[in-house]
Amino acid sequence: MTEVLSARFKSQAAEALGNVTIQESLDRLVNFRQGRVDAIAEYGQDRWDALSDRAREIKRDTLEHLDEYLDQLSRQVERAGGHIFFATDAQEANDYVAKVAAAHDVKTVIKSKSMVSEEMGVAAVLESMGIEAVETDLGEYIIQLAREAPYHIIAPALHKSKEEVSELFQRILGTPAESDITALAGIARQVLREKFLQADMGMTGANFGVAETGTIVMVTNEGNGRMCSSLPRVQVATMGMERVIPRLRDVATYLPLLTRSATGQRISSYVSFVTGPRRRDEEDGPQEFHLVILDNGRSRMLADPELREALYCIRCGACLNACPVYGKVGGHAYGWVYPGPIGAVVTPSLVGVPRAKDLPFASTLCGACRDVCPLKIDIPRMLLKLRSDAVEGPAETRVPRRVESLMMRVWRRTVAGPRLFSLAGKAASAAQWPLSRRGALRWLPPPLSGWTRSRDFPRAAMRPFRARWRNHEGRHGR
Amino acid sequence: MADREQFLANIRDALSSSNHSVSPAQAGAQPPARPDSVEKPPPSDLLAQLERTAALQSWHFTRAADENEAAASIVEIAKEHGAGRVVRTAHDVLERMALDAALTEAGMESVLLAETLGGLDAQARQDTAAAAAVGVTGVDAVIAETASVALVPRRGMSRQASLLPPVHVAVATADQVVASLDDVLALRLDALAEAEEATWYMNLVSGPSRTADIEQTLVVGVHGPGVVYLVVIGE
Repeated sequence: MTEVLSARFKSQAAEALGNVTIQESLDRLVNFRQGRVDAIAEYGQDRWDALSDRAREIKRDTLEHLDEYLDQLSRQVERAGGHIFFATDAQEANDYVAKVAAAHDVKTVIKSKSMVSEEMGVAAVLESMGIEAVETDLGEYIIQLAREAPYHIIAPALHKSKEEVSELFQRILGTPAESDITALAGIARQVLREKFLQADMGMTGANFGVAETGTIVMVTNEGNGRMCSSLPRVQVATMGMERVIPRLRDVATYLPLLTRSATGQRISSYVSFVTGPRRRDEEDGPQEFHLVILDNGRSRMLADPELREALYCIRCGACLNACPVYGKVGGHAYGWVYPGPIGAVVTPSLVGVPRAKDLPFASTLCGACRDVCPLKIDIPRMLLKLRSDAVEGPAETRVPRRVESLMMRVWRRTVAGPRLFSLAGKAASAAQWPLSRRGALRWLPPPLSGWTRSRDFPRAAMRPFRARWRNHEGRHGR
Repeated sequence: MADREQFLANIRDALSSSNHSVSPAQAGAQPPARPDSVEKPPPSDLLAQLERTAALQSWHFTRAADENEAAASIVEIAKEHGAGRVVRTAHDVLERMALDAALTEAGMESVLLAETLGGLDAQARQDTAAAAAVGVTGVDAVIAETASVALVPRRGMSRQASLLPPVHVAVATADQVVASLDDVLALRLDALAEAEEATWYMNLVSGPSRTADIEQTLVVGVHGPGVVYLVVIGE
C-alpha cells in the first residue's frame, strides 16, 4: 500500500504555503469552480437537484445491499468471460495483479488513471518485479517521473508549472527544453504512443461497476483509457467495492453529476463501457479481462453509520476545488492518496485516525464542500465525528494529546469555583505584561506556543470583569 | 486469498453491525424505480440541438443530403489532412457510399481494418492504423444533448480506427440521433436481451482527445485523435 505521510500534515502544509509556484497553481482552481457553476446552469438547476436526489437514493440502497450487488456484479463479469478477484487489502490486490502479470510473462504495463491503484501502490510493486509500469494519463505520467503522489483527484500534476515539466522531461527523457504546453504534451504523446503499441497488459480503474450487466465504466479525456482497454493482450481493472451501481441506466444518473462537477464538462471526451474481454467475433481488444474489487478498510466505513455516507463519493474533486484549506495547503499536505475535504474523511477512515490525526482538524467546517458535493455528502459532520473519535473514541481511534487534556483538567478545576477563577484572572493579567504587544499576545511559552505559532492570543483584560462589575454596582447602587 | 463468500460475508457483518433501519436479510435489493426519468432532457429538435452541442464539443460538424454527398465530404477531409492512406471500419453506411472507390479516385488508399473479413492480421492492422492519417467509422447512435457518438466494436468494426489515427471521421444517419445517454443505454439493454453473448464493449466519443493537465491549459490530441468530424446524413 502507498505510504501514509498524513501525520506530517502541518509541516507539509507549511511547505506549500511558502511555495509561490504552488500558490499560483492553486489559484487556477477557479477554472474548475467556474466550469462547474456554468455546467450546472446549462443542465438546469431543478433537473440537477432531482438528479442529485436520485443519485443519493440509489447509493443508499446500493450500500444497504452491497453484498447482493457485488455478488451480482461478479457473476455478470464471469458470465461475460471475465475473471473476478475480491481483495481484502492492498497487499492481496497487488499479489493478484503480480500473479496475472507473471502468468502472461508481461514486460510492459500501461496504466490509466485510477485512485484505487494509487492506494495499492501497484506500479511500484510491478517495477520491483522488473516489469515496466507506465502511467499514461499526462498528469499521472508527470508525477510518476517526479516520483510524487497525485496533487488533486482530477488533476494529478496541478502543482507543476510548465517550466518544471520541461525540466523533468529534459532530465529523464533527455528531450530539449520546451516552454510551449502543446509541445510538452506532444513529447508525452510520442513517448507514450510507443508504450501503448508494445505493452502486454493494460491496467485501468473503474468509475462505476454495473451489477446488472457486469460492465465497468471508465471516464477519461485523453484516450489513454481506451488504449489500455483495447491494445494489450490482458486488461486488469481495479475498483473500490463501493463503486458498484445497480443498473446500466443508472450510469445516466451518475455520469452528468461526475463530469459537470469535476471539470464542468457536459461529458468527458470518452466514456468506455467494458464488459468482459473481446467478443469472439471482435477484431481487437484484450483476450483476458480481470476485475479486482478492493475493500481495504471500506467495510469499516460501511459498518459505521456516521461514516457510511463517505462511500457515496464519486471522486469528482469538487470539494477540493471549493475548500479554502485545500486551496492554500494543496494536495501533498494531506499525505496520502485522497486529498481535500473528502480525503480528510476517507484517509483517517481507511488507514486509522492515529495515522492521520491532523486531517479531521484541517478544515474550517465552513460547509463549502457539502454545498458543491453532487451527492450532498455531509463532510463537516463526518469531520466532527472523526475529531470526537480522536479525543474520546475507542482506544484504537484515540490520539493521545497529553498536554491538551492536562490543560483541560486544570481549566475545569479553575472555572468550577469563584475563588480559583478570580485568582487565575489576576495571575493571568500580571503574567501577560512582558508578552503583550499591541493589545495581543504574539508569543506564548511552551506548551502554549502551538497556539501562537499561527495566530495571536487575545490579551486578558487589565481589570477582570468581576472587579469592574463590583465597582459598577458600588457606584450605581441597586 | 479472500474468496467471494468470505468477502461478502464480511460485508454482511459490517451491514448488520451498523444496526441500520433496514436489515439486508429481510428486504431484497430493490433500487429506486426510475419513473419520470430526470435524466431525459426537455424535448427539442434533435438535429438542431446536435449541431449546437457538436460545436461546443469541438466536433467539425457536417450535414450531408445523401451518401454521395457524405463520401465527397470525407474525400475533402482526407485531402485536407494530406492522407495517403485512410483506414475504415466495415459499417454499412460506408459500404453504401462506396467510400473506397471515392478515395481511390482521389488518389488515396482506403484500408479496411478487419481480420475477420479476410483482411490484415493483428500486428499489421495495428501498424496500419497507427500510421494512417485519417480513420473513418460509422456509429451505433448519436446523443444530441452531449454530441456523443456511441461505437460498439464487433465483427468488422475495429476499436482502433477511431483511436490511433490523429483524425477521426464519424459518419451517422439522422435516424441514429437520440436525445440522451439514457436512450443509448436503453437501446443497449434491448440489444443485450437479444444477443447470444453477454460480452460487449462500447465507447462514447464526445469530441477530440483532450487534456488540461499542465497549468490547466487545454491541449487536444494528446493520445487519441485531436481533430474529429461528425458527418450526419439525411433529415
